[in-house]
Amino acid sequence: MSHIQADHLSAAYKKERVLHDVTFTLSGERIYGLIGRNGAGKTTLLSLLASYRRPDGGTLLMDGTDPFEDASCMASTVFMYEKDYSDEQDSARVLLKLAARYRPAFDLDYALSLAETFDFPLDKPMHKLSTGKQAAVNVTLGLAARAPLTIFDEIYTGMDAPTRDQFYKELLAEQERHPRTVILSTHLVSEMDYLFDEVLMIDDGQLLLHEPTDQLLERGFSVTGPAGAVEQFAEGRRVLSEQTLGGVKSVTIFEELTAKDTAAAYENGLEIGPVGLQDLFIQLTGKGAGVS
Amino acid sequence: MRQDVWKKAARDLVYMQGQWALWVVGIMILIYAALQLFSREPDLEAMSAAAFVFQGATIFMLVCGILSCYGFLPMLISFGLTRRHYFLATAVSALVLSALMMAGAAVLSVVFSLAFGFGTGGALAFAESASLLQVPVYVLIIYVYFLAGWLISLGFYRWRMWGGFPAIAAALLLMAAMEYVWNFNTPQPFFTFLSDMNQLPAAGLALTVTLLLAAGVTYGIRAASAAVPVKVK
Repeated sequence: MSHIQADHLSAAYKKERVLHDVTFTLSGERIYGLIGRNGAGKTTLLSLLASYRRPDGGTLLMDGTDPFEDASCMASTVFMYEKDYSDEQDSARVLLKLAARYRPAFDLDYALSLAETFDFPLDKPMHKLSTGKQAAVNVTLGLAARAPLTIFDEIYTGMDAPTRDQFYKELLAEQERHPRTVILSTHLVSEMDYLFDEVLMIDDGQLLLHEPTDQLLERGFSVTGPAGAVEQFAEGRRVLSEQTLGGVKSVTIFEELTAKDTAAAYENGLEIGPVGLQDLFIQLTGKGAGVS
Repeated sequence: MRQDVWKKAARDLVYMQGQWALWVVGIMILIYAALQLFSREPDLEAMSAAAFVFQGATIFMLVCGILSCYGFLPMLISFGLTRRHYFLATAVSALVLSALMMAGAAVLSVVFSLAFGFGTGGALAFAESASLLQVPVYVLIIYVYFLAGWLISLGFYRWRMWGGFPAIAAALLLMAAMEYVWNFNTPQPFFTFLSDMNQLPAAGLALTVTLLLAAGVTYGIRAASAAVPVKVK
């Protein structure tokens, strides 16, 4: 899916609005990180993209077409989430074969090789697999589908750390071999940030920001030094957080740092440091974010 | 062709539910044979194997319908099919499954009748009232039972109890209508009050009413499922 255009999207469950006025454009076969706190509206947004539900307002176009009930768009989208397999008697092999029957580009051989990589049993009923193994089956179904729009909604949270690491490596390798638009929804930001080409941050049903990851990281920095000098430097800037220990103060600023700023900071004995995506996420979506 | 993907889904649904149906028909046939051998109840002696299986098939199809929205809708959507594909595949597979079940039961009926003399009312008879009850009618009626289950499933899936309980009421009315127009005199006590009412006289009229109800409910299910949100869980 080379072009996804969301324009003032909104969605509600009964009277509760869970998404409002969300506008963005995704262009190109890249990996997008959709990050947000629990209940921020990530799954609802992904449900709209996957045509699991229709927006209550706004428009969504994929390559110029409304994807809802469009056979071609829906066949081109795979949406994997943490499914409830507690009643699923079929084995992973049956699910993979079924997916191969319906998904135009599904690669069954690749899926079977991933079963070895992730070490999940192919012939055991799904309900007997552990949460981590079920997540590995979901990841396999998503990767092997080779759908132009591939969405993973926090399915990796049940996996253990080594399996998650294998998944990240496999995702990058697969993206190299068969580029597609991938959306990874997560709150495991610190271990996944290197995967994202672009970041969409969502909070309380609204899109906070959508930027290339490298540009976003350039906009966040910390300043540490004598309290008075730090306060003077931070004045008029967007301060996300601050900490004071004795006479030393540290603030996180969300603003582009110019060469002039850097020079001024060093002149005043201040130390400039980078801020990770995880910290930006916490501070932008935490209580009191952006108060100054 | 992507447009034909629903046919593939219909075949798969027939295969999946057909496996369950084999068990149901097999068990019903065993019970039927045992009753024919050991029971001296006149109604049972007159009843054909097809008519006996039919009674179990109605309940089986009702259950298949109830499972539909919770099992097959999310599965097919997750494989990239549309709600329209799901609707077509489900409706057609239910008709095919109804036909296969009753065709199999009819063949067994004829075999039992010719080989062992089971079903003294006729190879396809339902107790004494054998004249109208042919296999196509059995097929149509068990399809309507599937629709009743599907209606309940969709009601709960889309609107929870606010749609589920009215859907149960609608399904009960639909099943009562089947009892009424076809006068089956089945042993379900809820419907016995209808047995004293004037029965519709003509098979043609009964068939027309059944077809109209089936078409109406099928259309209603399509309308209600055309944009149904699929649960993410």
